[in-house]
Amino acid sequence: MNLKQRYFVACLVVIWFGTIWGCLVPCLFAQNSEEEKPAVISEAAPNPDLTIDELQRAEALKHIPELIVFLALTLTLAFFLRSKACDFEKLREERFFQGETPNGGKS
Amino acid sequence: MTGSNVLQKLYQWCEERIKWQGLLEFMKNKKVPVHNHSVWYYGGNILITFFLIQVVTGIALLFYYQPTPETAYESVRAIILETRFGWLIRSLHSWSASLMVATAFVHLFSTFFLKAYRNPRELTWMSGMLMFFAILGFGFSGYLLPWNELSYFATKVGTGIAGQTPFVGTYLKFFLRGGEEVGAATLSRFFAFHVCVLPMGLAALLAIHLILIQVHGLSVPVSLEEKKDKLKSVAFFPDFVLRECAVSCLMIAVVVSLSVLFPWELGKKADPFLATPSGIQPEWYFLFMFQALQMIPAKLGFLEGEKVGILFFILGFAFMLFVPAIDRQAEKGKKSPLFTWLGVLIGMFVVGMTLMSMIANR
Repeated sequence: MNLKQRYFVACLVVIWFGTIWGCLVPCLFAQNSEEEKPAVISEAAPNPDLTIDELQRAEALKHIPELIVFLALTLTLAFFLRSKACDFEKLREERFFQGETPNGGKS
Repeated sequence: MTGSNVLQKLYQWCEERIKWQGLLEFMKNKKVPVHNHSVWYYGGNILITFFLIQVVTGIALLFYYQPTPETAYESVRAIILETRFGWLIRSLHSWSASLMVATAFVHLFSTFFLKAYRNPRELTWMSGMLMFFAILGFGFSGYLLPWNELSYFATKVGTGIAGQTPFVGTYLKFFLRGGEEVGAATLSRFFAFHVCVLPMGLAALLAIHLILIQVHGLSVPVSLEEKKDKLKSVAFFPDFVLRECAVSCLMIAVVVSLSVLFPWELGKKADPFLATPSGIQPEWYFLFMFQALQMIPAKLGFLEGEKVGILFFILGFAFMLFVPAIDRQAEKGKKSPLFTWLGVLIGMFVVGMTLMSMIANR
């Protein structure tokens, strides 16, 4: 595993947690202001005949593209973790944390 | 100062205060045996993954949920319809709860069949069984919280069944409901159990369970006990931990996919003045008990059938809890086919009754 791949894994981890954070923060804080209260589904599907479960399903299906991106990120992260890309002990043995690249700066 | 120097300094600062190098050394020297049944070692990690999802999404839901009969359903409705990604957080919570119970069943039976409860891991098994009961408690208490039709009447039936427990039934029903009927007091109690009592209990049991696993290491099947030292093994850290992280990622992918493709339904608001609708059932993981109690005749000789059924389940759970003391062969490190067959029978009973109940309700 070379240095570029390790940086790639680090980026994946950051993006992955960023996605989670991006989902959680609006959920936790968006409704604090009455003026900015998001009406997520009711605006998107104003049909009053639909039940809450039908509205929910319609909203969820709109997010399938995001789901595909999330799955790609998560499964890639799983693959790299499985292949020991984040073995910090090895990085330390290679003096990665002391400003030295594992292979002497060669790619 | 370069970035790596900052990292190095940060690492040293933490090391001086936390002394994590000792813990890392311990984990690196710890070995995880590799054999044909190693796949079952991941069950515990999967459970922890689902538990953490429960904690994170549960805290998020707590910001909006209001535990009164007048506002509970409306607050859940607002979470789904008005809060950005609220539907996803709620679905993640419900799906991970369901998958957590399913994994708990698989982990319990895999550990049972591998006889991992044998000496010296009796307390590990018992703490695990108590956690299993706590997980079922989470399911039972959480089911009522949305205050929808299905959950209201299922809780009414469920607490009614608890009321048939020999000797303590009347008190137990009153304690669970906070009165004679399922109402505001029941919702408050179930909420308190769900967000306070059970999480604290489960966290304490989990800590004990994990410490005991670290102390005794992972068990190997009885047939491999003699050649345990010759088995292939991997370091607990980082090899096994990284593999567990990869499995956790897969589980997160599964639970997110289920939540988006099949969002957890809410149904209609509960109306306590209605008669119990037909086809009311508890969550799938209680169906085996529900179905068995329905099949028992009202009278068994001079005894009430339902009471006998409940006594049977209490004895069954007690058997599972104390099996390390009952299975003397396994304690001596010998094979115990009788207990293996008992486990098969229990598994067949649980699966059979659950399927029967599902088919009967169609």
